[in-house]
Amino acid sequence: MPTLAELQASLAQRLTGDPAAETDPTLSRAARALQHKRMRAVAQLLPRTRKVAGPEWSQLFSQHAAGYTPSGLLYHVDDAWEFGLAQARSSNRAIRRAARLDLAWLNLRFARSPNRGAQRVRERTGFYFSVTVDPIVVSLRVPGRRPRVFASSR
Amino acid sequence: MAAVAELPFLGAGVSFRPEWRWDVIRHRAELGLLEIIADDVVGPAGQRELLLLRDALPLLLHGIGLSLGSADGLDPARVDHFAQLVEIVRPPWVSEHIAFTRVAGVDIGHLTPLPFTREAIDTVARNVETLRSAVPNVPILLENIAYTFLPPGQEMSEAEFVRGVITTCDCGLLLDLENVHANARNHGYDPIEYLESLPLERAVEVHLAGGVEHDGIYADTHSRPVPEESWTLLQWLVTRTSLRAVIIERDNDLPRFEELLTEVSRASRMLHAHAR
Repeated sequence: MPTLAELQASLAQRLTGDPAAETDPTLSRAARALQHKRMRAVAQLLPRTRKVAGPEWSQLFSQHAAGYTPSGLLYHVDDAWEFGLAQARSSNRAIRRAARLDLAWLNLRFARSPNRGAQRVRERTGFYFSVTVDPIVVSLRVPGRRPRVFASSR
Repeated sequence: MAAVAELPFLGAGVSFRPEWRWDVIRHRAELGLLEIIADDVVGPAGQRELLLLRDALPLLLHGIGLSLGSADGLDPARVDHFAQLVEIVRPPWVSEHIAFTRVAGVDIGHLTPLPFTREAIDTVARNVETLRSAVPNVPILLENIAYTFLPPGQEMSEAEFVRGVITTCDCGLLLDLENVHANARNHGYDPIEYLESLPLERAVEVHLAGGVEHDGIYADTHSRPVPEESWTLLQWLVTRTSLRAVIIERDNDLPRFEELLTEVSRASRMLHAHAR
């Protein structure tokens, strides 16, 4: 019999991997449910990307989810961030621009460390300013004031 | 753990959602308490909100990501975060699940069942001791989870396992009756027989929620009103225990807050009718 640590490591890998590749039907169903839960949470954090991606959204997210395991207290923000970064490089211009705008909003609320762990994503405090192109997006956060994003529609 | 009757009687309340921030404040007289998910309180803004809520009504802290069942121990950063919140809230007790959510650096993002084995009981006991040293003098409750699969290698029944964990860890019992209802339905056992096998003298708090059936599996989605089956279990339980609190949980498809208040009111009446 495997040890508890071995059993848990195996389960964690199977539950966070590609549900279609899992041969045990109960684990495959659990992995699918988990992926669906992640997708719903990320859709709320990247609303523009979700809307623009339309019917492609599920497939795009499934590809991302099978290859990335988020971490930290703000697990779903980390997930959304990684997915958003990938979509910000999409060959589809509309998706790429929507993802960049969603990421601008995430950047105003949170800061993300390159290191995995409980505190990978933190609430942003203090002053923040950034400018990106395609679309032109100016993000501004001043402590005590409502964060603002100014985006070009072109 | 202190005798249950020595803990404060708080009545019925809800699990906090930021969408209900002002509803909670406005209806605080109708709520006995509020339960805060510790993992949702991140950063200074979250802590400021906690202070605002703490001034409005009694708060409990509930963890979902400490992963008390992890064979490789607790994440010190998460334990520190939990302990900081305990320091701010000073709750009468705290709670977490009998499950694991993380192992070997992989966050599963969901409460995952442990095998019903002695090794798993000892692992939870070791991790609870670590948590207890970070939050001394605060009673710890452990909650039963819903599961759609079980890891291989079971040595005992679910009820024997939960009893073993609760008594070995010397913790209180947080009974999620929706999880009991879901497991009984999905795995074909009698929920009352299950409850009778638990150390009910340690039952302090109850969680109620509603789920949906999908592909022949009843899923604990926290997206529907509490089903009658769970209300029946609560009625059975209140006559046999000294429960101190009931929490109505709703995480998805959030209704108007007033709808939730009718469920709070029903739970409150049942609790008060048999308060000890």
